[in-house]
Amino acid sequence: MNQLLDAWTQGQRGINYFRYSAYSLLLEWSASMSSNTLQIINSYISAITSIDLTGVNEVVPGYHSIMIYFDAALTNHESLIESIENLIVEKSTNQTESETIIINVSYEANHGPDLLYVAQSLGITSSEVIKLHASKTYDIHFIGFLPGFLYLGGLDKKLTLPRRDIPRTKVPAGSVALAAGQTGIYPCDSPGGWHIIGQTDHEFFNPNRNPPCSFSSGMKIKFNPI
Amino acid sequence: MIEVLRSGSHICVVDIGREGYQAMGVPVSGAMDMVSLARVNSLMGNKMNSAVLELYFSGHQLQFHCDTYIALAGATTDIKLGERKIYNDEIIKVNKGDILSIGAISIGCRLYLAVPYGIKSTQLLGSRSPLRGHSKKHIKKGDKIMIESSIISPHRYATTKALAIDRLKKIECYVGPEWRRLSNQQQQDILSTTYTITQQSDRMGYRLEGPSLKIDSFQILSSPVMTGTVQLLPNGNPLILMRDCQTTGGYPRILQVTSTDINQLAQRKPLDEVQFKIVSNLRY
Repeated sequence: MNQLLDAWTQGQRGINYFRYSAYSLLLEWSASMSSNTLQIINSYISAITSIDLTGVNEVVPGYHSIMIYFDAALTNHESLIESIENLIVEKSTNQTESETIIINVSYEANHGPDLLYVAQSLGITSSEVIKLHASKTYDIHFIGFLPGFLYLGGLDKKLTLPRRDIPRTKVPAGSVALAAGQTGIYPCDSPGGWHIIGQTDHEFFNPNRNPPCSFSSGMKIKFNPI
Repeated sequence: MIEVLRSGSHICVVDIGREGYQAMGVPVSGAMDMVSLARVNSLMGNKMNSAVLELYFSGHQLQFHCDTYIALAGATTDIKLGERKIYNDEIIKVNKGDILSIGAISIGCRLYLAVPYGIKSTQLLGSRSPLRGHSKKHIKKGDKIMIESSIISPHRYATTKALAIDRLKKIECYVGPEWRRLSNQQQQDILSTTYTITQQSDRMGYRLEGPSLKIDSFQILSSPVMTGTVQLLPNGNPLILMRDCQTTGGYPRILQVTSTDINQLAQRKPLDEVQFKIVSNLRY
């Protein structure tokens, strides 16, 4: 169909551009959630935000894509595509130096109601679950789902298990949870289907603070059992 | 001050929403029907980002504890101020003690009420619209709503047009990034189906149901989504993301409702029908 040909443009640098709406443009790289893709995405985000492209309102990353929201009165898809294709993008070097933020977590049974279930389903002990979970350093890929919810990369493959059959109607704020090969922290009370293995009192989002969220794509975190 | 004597379905304070925080996972939010928001604010001579009340469905009763003015736009409803029947699209003088009752709805489902200079409430991240997890979702019975002023603005701008609510209008969409991953047959099926909006629909999203249409869905790596994005759920039915939607999602983004027709959807309710129609992604 013609509209499909119109919607996509293949760039010269491995970026596929998609005219998503009248005021948004999607940049997509080949599908992967690797730290390499993360680094490419971060270097594009810093390049785009540092040169202050005319009309760009928001730059929102996913695992292998970036959505650019723009003011259609000031710019358009074609001029943005051209600018991005000609951007000078420096491979961000500060990634390796970026400090790791320590998140204190209580993995005790009353704070991690699903810890025992997770251990039993995986055929290991609760302390092995904690050890596997707390020994890794996690990359923050992006923030989504809820204000301040970090999408983390780097969970040990041994901790992979499906979501709960029946999601909880209320997962309390600060719950550290995992499911489907991913781990995360609920920044506010929310319904949720992940298994809760611990609890943290670290603040991830506060609308009365500036900035409301001190985490961003490219930072690293580590869980510290207390 | 306005006191909520009875809240029918739900009432919330809305404005144009919050921009600039999506990378932190913050929904844009704002009025479901932005055309009617602009309409009431322009009738009242307010700034376009002034906060108004969004009254969903019928059964609401509000009492005014001061003299003021109001304007209404959006759904066509049976509205009474005391015993007097009043209508959308005009400025109405309200006296202290008056009770406004919203009765049966005949067209649409969301009514917008503006007061001079807007509703006064706490701003979070530049907006008075509810912020998930951090502010009250709905206004309840007994709640008191503060208003900025009882004196009408002397500034009169040209008023913007009212939304022509058409519940049979085919909803215009651009194709979404994952549309090309569907087969021709699946694409045709989606475009020829008349879907019904289910009861599991709210300001975050409308879940649709088609007549026993089974389309195999797939998962994608979590990617940005926005208001109007139509996702294909694992059960084969579409979910249209509305104003309070999350900023990223992992279901295929098959269509994108135009920023014009999302307002038509905002005036449809559970059991109403939806048909999609594709327009070119280059036609803005």
